[in-house]
Amino acid sequence: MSAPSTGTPQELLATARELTRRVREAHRGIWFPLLLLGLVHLAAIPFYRYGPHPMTCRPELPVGNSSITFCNHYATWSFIYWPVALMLAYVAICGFYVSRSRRRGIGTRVWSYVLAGTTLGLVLTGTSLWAVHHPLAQEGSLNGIHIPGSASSAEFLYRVATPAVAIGLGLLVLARVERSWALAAFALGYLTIVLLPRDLSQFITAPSMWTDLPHLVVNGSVLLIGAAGFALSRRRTT
Amino acid sequence: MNHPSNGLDDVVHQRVRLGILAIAHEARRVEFGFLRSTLDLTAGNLSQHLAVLEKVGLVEIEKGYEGKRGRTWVHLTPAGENALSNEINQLKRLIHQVEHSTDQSGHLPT
Repeated sequence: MSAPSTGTPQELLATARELTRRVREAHRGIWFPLLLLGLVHLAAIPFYRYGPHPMTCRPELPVGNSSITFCNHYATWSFIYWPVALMLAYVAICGFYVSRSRRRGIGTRVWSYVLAGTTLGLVLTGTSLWAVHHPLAQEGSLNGIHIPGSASSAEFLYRVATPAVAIGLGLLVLARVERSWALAAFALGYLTIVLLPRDLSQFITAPSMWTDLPHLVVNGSVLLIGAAGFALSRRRTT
Repeated sequence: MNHPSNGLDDVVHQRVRLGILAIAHEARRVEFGFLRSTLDLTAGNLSQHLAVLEKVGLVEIEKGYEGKRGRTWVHLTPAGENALSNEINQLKRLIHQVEHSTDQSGHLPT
């Protein structure tokens, strides 16, 4: 862009906008966090499959003339894997953005994403640890007997308290940092997929070592497909 | 009402200097080489513009080394942030006023 000293107000504003757009383009490296977090999902599979799966049960709930016990079946190693893996992933993402921005000669705003991602990861992993020790009664019916459920807010918290949701919320923060509507839309789509109830009872009978695997594969694959999409679109625009 | 052109700062109301402020604002801090290539300027020309902005306190220039390589980093001061925001607002007001006057009379204002 050659530089005559002044221009019309429209030209000056258009110049400022175009330069801002170029800096944003130079900042963006969305493909890397998506790739890494997708791989983190897939790398979790052995921890779920081969780790111990204890159960926690709540006191019996009287239903009609009998009673029902609700139990949670969980993978112990996942509570070690996720905080460690997320911390390492965010350190790597931070290193990627910092070295890249230094090479390009611009500052980076990635700190807020790394801080938000790490905090969300730790808080939601902690909440999920609490949740497995406080199994909730699922509303429904069994042999024609109505089973009263827990408050919907408690059930919502129960469903949200997962590392995948922490990753999705972190991506929304990254979308804000990178001012990317495309990433915001992707993050919302990912969160929708993560939060959608998936009934796998036809394929996997609980309790099973395989219960969590479809979720990990689906969530990880969505992130990897997103990484490929953002990398390709970046290659086209540069 | 005060005409928006009265609120324009002569130092900032200039394509290159507005560009430097816009880039430094978005990038938080920006290296001399990135500014030079993005604005397509010679090193001497860019240095002159930076000197003007530094003199009035809109940017701070920081020289240092990364390894053996000398680097010059530019970042906006709070006054620079205000000046950029003010310039953008005045430009928008000016454009709005011109477009509004043109719509009403069918002619450009004289």
